[in-house]
Amino acid sequence: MTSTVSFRKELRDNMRERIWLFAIILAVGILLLPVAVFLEIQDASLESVHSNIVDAFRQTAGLQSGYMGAAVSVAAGMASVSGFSWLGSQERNDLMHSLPVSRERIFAVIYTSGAVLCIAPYLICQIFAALVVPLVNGCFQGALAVEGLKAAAFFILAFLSVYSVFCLGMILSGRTGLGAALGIFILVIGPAVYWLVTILIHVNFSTVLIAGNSFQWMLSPVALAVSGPGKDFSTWAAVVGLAVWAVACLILDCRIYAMRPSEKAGSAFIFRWISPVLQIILMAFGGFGLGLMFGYYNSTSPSYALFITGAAVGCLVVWIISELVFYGKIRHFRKKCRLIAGAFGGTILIFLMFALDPLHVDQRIPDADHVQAMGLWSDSLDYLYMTTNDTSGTEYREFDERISDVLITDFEPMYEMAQEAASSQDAESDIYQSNHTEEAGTNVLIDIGWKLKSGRMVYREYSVSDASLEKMWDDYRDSDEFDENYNPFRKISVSDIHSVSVYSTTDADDNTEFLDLDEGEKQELVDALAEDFRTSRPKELLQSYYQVALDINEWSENTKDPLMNITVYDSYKNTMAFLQSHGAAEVLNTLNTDETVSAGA
Amino acid sequence: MIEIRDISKSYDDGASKALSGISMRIDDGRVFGLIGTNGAGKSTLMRIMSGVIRPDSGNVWYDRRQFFRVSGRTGRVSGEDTALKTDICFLPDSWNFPLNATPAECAHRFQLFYQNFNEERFRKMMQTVGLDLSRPVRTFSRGMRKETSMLLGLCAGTRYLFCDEIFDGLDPVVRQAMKSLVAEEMVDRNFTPVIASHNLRELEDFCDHVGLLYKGGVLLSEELENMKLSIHKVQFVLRDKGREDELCRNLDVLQCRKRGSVMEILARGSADDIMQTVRSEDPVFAEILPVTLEEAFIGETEVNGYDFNSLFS
Repeated sequence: MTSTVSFRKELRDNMRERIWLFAIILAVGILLLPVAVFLEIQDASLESVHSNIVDAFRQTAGLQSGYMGAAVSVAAGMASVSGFSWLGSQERNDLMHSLPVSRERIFAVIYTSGAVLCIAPYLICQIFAALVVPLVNGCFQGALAVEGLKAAAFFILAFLSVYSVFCLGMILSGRTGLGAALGIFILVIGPAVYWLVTILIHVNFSTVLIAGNSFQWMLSPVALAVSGPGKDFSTWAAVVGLAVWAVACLILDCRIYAMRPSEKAGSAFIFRWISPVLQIILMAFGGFGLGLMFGYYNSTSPSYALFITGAAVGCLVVWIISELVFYGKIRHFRKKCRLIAGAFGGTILIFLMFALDPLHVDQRIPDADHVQAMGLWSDSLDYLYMTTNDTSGTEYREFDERISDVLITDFEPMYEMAQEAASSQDAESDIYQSNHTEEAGTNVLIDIGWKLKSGRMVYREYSVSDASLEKMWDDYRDSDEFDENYNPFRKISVSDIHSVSVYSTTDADDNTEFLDLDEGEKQELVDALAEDFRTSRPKELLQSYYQVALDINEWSENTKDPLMNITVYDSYKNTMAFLQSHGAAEVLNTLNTDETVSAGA
Repeated sequence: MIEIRDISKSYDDGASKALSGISMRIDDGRVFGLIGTNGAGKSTLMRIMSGVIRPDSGNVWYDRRQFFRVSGRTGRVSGEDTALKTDICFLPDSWNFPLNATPAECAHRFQLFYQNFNEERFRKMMQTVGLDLSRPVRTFSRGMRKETSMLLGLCAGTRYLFCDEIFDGLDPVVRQAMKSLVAEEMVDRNFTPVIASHNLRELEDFCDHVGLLYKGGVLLSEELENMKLSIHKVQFVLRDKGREDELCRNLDVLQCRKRGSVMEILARGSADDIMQTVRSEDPVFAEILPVTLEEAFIGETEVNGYDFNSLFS
């Protein structure tokens, strides 16, 4: 009982000292939450931005609010710095560590105090945002309360994870500024390494594609907090990621604080090994940064010599800066030469692993025995059934999202095409260069994805000859699975079609005819398009002439009247016949049937 | 009783050795003076005894209770006995509360941790010395901060009070007042102050036991009374100047100085024995003079081969 009462008193005492933190969080929270929600609700009721209030709340104060993630990260930094800045003062260490209280208890009081001072005002503001403001505006829904609760739980967890990391930085250093910087370093190093690897892959490998995935977000709790659960990972994945960060860092905080030497107050770091490790990492980033800037300034002809020069300069400059920041002066340059040389050497070695590709990553594809399914996509395929100037009916999607929609288990023809493309891929060649010959024809850039049996996805981008593409298409002629996935007209649901209009792309008067179709006729049209597409070939379509386009108006939950434009090629006999017989005669009669100009060059 | 056994401590990962195998004993109810030059290790030892910093090796025992927990696996100190710390109050040489705090707030903070803290007595003492309880400490002079710090320590009600150069910066009146308060405290309860200083004269009339630190080691640790009883300064003039050397050989001389005809020696032994030996040489005159703490140390340190003047220069 005595111990509990004492903890409460200590907590109250510590909170009283930092009550200004509560005031600041409350003031900012009022603006970011109830005020912002109020303004969004006003917009939603005017139908200017969102179609419903729950969506407005979700993007303002809910799980999709990116700036809430940033705000909790800043709050976490303030709480940790204000709580542990005294660690840099020998005098305060003398006081705190001479008192008859354990180190663990001291840490618990300060940590809890900081958390309460930030979480309490946030909860007050969130209650106002999710309940009071909607009630006052007469638009309260139960779903708002649920969204508010989910967001509160998520952002509190996000706060605790970022807070624990910042506390770790403060505890590992004997100076306030350096401790905060170390906290920021721990938060960004994961995404920074991922980003650097992505760049090295991008500049050195011509076929490797990196898809967005949840792994990159898990590398930092700030990334998880700011991005929020979204397309790359589920809410539960984010919660687990944040929980792991929070628990792991909290354990480290407790353990390290308990053994932290008080005499390190004022020192850069409490452990001797931290400085060289940090310097090596920072020098590597500096080396890569300047090296890539020098070496790849001319992206078409990179220079390794310039990269090495840039890397050397980058390592040296960063070492000098780090010495000045950590110690206020440059110490023992001769002794540190080995450190600098080691960082430089490591940078060059890593770079050469990517540049020379000794493991032939660029030429390798997964073993067929490990593959479960495959898919491919190309922007060129979009042209097959859409006009070039209007794709407003479809939102931009990344290649991995496209491929995930079209994975097929009957992947042998696709695999053969990829194998051929990979083996013909020259490390020196640029797949983005136009590669046209009379014999080979035109190359097409294809993104290919392998779904392995382990669940992992591997992506490559190849310049595939249209002959290879044609062969693959031919091999899939009788494949229902391929047709279901790659025939865009198999994915149209007739119930989504609101109206259909026809127009000629060559008609200067821009005449458009709306077709009066019932459900059955709409299905007939879709089936005709599907059959025409199935019997056609990409090369043939790309070189075909087209004069007719269809606008299919779809109804969608979140959008209003998006348009889907479909190119109706001259070879689409079934579709043409349907249009002729269903009220598009006037448009079709304006077509010039004598011209056979190739549309693709 | 405090027992310090084989305490060693280095800074900068072993580059700078602050304490090297220190062992000493501090008895309860005695004023212990910890003396040494700057960098001798006094503050380090005080901080170790208070649990602020942890030794590299060795331990401190309070009434036969081990203060530092040692990990069986690594052999390193892993923590302190928090219960023992309720009997310890450490006053460093610089003010260690937030500067914006008032003495009243500092007292409140101490009361949270020291169950026996006498807030009422603290208020009265502060009023007696003329310090405002509600004024922020950043407006206090250095001496006023030390006064406040000392009063906080005295009112904490702990058995041990470790003061690191607490009298520095205090005017003579306040210094004497503080010493009186310490003496009062010792009379009223079981109280043992440990005072660290580099000023021998300041501690001379105050300490019962002194320990001299030099470069991380203990040169001597002895009762002041015993030291003064066993060392005497004699001033004399012999009729036969040639007998001076013979006389010095017959005494356990620690230091010998001649000013004109007058000889002044510092010798070990009882006063009666020394005077008897001197009178046996038929001096023109001979008298015993008071020995200062500094002079008492001279003999002990120079006998050990240290130039006392260089220790405190």
